Amino acid sequence: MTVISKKMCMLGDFGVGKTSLIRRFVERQFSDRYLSTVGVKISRKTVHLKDVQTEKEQELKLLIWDIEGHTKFKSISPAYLQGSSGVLVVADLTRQETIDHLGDRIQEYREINPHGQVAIALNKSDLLEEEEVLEMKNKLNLPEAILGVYNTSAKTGNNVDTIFQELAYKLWLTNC
Amino acid sequence: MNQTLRSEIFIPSHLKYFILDGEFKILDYSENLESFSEIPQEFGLGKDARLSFPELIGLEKILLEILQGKRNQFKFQGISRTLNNENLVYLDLIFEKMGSHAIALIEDITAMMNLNQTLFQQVNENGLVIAELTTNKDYINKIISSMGNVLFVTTRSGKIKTVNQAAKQLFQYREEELIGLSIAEIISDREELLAGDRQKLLAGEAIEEIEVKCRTKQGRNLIVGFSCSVIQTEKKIPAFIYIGRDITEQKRAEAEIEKALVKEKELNDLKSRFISMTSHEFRNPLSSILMSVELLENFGDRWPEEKKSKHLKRIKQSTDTMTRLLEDILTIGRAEAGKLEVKPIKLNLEEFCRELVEEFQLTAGEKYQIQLQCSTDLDSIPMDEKLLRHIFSNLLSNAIKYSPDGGIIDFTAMKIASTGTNGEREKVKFTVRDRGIGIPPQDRSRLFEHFHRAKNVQDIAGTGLGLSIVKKAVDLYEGIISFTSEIGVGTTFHVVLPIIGDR
Ligand SMILES: Nc1nc2c(ncn2[C@@H]2O[C@H](COP(=O)(O)OP(=O)(O)OP(=O)(O)O)[C@@H](O)[C@H]2O)c(=O)[nH]1
Ligand SMILES: [Mg+2]
Repeated sequence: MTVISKKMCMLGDFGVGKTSLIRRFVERQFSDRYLSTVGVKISRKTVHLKDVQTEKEQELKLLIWDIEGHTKFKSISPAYLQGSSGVLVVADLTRQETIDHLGDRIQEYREINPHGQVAIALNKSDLLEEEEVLEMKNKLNLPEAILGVYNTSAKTGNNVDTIFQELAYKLWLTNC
Repeated sequence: MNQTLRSEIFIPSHLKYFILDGEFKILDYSENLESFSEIPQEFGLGKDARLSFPELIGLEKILLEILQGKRNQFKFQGISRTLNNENLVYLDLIFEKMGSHAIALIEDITAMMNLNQTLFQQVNENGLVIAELTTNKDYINKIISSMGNVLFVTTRSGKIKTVNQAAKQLFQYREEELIGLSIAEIISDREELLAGDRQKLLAGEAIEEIEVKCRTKQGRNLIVGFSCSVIQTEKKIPAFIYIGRDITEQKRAEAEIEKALVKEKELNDLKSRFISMTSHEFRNPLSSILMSVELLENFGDRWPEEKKSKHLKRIKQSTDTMTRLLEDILTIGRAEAGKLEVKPIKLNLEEFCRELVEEFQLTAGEKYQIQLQCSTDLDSIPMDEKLLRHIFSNLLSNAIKYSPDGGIIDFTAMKIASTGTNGEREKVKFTVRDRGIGIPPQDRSRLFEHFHRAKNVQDIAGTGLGLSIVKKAVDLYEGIISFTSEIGVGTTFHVVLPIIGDR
């Protein structure tokens, strides 16, 4: 069985928890300390996938690009997005403006990768009550069809494996 | 080193490089380049560069475009890498065409990126704090403005700095009128809360739910329950927080309940008084009858007539007293059961009054002088004689009873005309005036209640039912009874009864 490698990106405003989500997924750790990412950092993790219908199995090496957060003063270099098969667009449930920016981030990504897979993580769900999270999710108004919207928490690990696994599975199936 | 491969371009000495073919195969590289790769052991001539430089994964199309001359350059800025598991470096990766191959130039920009990191760390951290503060502020503002309780924040001297919606509403001020106003303008009765209590508050004590009188802008009085505490602002200046609840209505309701309770208690008192009163009032005459009967039984055949008749007379008197009491109780009972009605028949009112006066003069004795004065037009007036008797026998007997030193008692009756809502109606106005002990002010409001007897009656006998009967009779008549009284000077009762035609 050959290992497939796929590039995926993390996009979102500064401080929404992109680095933390990767850290949780790859190193199974979390820290409350905020260390702002500049430039980009690539992490790797191999996930095991199985197609329930065909019983086919696959090892997929995810190259996760942790890209510096978008801020008022700086947009990210589009080159980072080049050649990626999917993207996890992250927002912070406790900061409405990061949710409002989701549409822009998706747009940015789609300009480079029109066929890339897009999943959305509404992160820091641990800071809100479950019903509040649901309400936020229902309020969400996204312009186009996307893979899925997940409320995640890098702190508790809630949905973190799920969202990466789902995205990886999709990347494998669509092979983009 | 393959001199020919890179002869076409000049490479500055601070740059590292490697040269690729269209399949990412490493054809050449600068000295020590492997140390910049992510996986140094995968680096080497002839190897796929994507194994050691994973950022190349996904760049297949770009590489092709460069080799085909469709793209001049491609650049990744600031790729971070931890070298030898400890040093964090940042690299720029630039791809260009070089002959039939592609060259990847690597520039170490760690110093610049570290500077960047410090800068963005600060900016972003501030951004997070501001975001949190704004959410919190929004949140707190929303809570404050939506809370039903009144909120004031004042300075040490009591100057209002912050108010909420409820405060504006309750006190009927606009916000700009309240800001800068002294809280003393609002809290009207508790100086300590304004000044003295501030010392207490500053000492860290909280004041909980104290009731204060407040006034609105229009001067309406309110009762507000205030809780107060002090917080220190970031500048270490104390801010006084007053949170209040309008309890005006609650207080009113409480007062009403209190009143009802007092009434209830009085009613209970009344009942027990009724019982003790009746048993007492009956017991005395009963025991004196019993005594006389026993004496007569045992000694009757031996006693002279004179002594026997004295006891018989006592028996008769006691029986009379009991009968009177019973009658009073029955009258009240009938009146309360709604069984008493007004049945007027033509009556010579003057004659009726005179007979009444004579009757009372006889029993009262010479100490008293009952003077009757009637207008001349009373010889044929429809009136209920029985009710009149209830009213005036009680008033006259009271007048006598409560003038223990005797004196003049005036009884007057005269026809008057007055205009009511349904036109002219003829009435008779009566007064009974004594020069007796008077009624103490505190007893005046309850004078007509059953068994209520004024505090100054001392040992003057009475059932406490007389005036209740009078009141009931007057009410039944739809008349008016009033009185004026002065302690030690006397009391005058005024009774106005309408003349109701024959029915
Ligand atoms: N409570 C909670 N805090 C989180 C969560 N995820 C991240 N954080 C915190 O949010 C802050 C920012 O997290 P990062 O992962 O550095 O955010 P980022 O998106 O990588 O930020 P940039 O690199 O500046 O774009 C850190 O203090 C984290 O500890 C979460 O799920 N729950
Ligand atoms: Mg980060």
